[in-house]
Amino acid sequence: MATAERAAPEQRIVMHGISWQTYQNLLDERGDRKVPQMCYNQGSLELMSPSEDHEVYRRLLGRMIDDWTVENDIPIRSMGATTLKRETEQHGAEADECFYVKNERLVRGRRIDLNVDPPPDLAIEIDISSSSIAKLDVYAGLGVREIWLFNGEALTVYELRSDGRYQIIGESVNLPGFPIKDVADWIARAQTTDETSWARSFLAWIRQRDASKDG
Amino acid sequence: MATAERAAPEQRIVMHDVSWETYQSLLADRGERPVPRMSYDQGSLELMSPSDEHKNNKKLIGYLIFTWAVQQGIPFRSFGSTTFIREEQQRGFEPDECYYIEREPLMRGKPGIDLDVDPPPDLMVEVDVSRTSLKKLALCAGLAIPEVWRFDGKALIVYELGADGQYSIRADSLQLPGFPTAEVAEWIERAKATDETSWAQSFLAWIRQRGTRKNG
Repeated sequence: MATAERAAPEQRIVMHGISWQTYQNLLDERGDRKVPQMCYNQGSLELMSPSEDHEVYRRLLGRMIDDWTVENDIPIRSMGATTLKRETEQHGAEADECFYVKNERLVRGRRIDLNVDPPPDLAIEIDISSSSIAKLDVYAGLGVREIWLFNGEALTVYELRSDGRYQIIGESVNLPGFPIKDVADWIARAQTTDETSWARSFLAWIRQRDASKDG
Repeated sequence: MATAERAAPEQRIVMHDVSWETYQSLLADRGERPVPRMSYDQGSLELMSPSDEHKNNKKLIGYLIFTWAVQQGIPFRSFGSTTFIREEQQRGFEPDECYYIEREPLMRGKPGIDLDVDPPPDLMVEVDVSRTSLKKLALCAGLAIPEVWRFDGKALIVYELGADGQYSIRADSLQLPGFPTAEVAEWIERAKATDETSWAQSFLAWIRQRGTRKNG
């Protein structure tokens, strides 16, 4: 890692034997507040309070996705940290960011109802410390096709297979060509300059990359 | 994960505007599990998973108190992590240790504390390595606990409840007069360098030689 210090991890508390109703009550009582983030897996509930480093990574990776989709003209719908939940399977998740990509057209202009609408195509998880809950099981239950997991040091991409399990893949299925392997470097680079210069460098870099590909 | 194996750090999450009912549900759902520990103060709920250092400090302080009380012949009764609930105050918390000293006879033979019928503990001990978000002393005052000890990893601070319902800091304990409160941090540090038996024996030898006088 380019940074001298280790990234500050999130605060995490996990509880077991929690009813769906209690999980709903906690969501309701949290109201408009963004923290703690909650992930519910059939009785297990993880509460997470992000660290400053977590928030920095979230923002920077979000910018990279924004810049890349604009530059490559990929239609998306950003859902932020929307709560994705399905009571029947007792699953609930709140990604750091999530997007409709392939299904963007289907949900355009609509208020999403996961009981009838498809889930987002892509969810982004920043996990500096490991989550104490089986998040991939939750996302599999929700049917999210692609998960990006950034732990501060590397980005791992998972795709949901027909057997209901995720497999690590080398290339994004929703954003093919996105520079997965360069994410950690770019995020580290952001510490050495201001955000505007950083974003401009990133844009220049992806433009030059595309130019040489189409070349 | 790239991080190496290391001592588990303390985890704390605070939520606001949590209903009493939700707090009670969480306590019920937690059941017999020791974690997370929960404190509730009029809508604010703090969930905490103690660090390895916290657990260790709690254990060592428990030993120091036990050893000292036995040596001094002071009758006491300790209760570990008990949940204290005061619904009419909308408060609840779980200190690391609590002790009945003067009021020990009232608790003899009882398996647990029921604040509806029992008096509050005489002494409460809190190990608090990272700063707590909830005002724990207010919770203790609400229960009229005469003395509270707080160890923050660096020093032990003694709080005494005044007639005005506020705590003030004291240099030494009224509940366990003569207990070496100022040396607790040093004894905890010493435990890192030796086995528990040698450590406990050193402490015992030290308090014997010190005698019962405060400045002995």
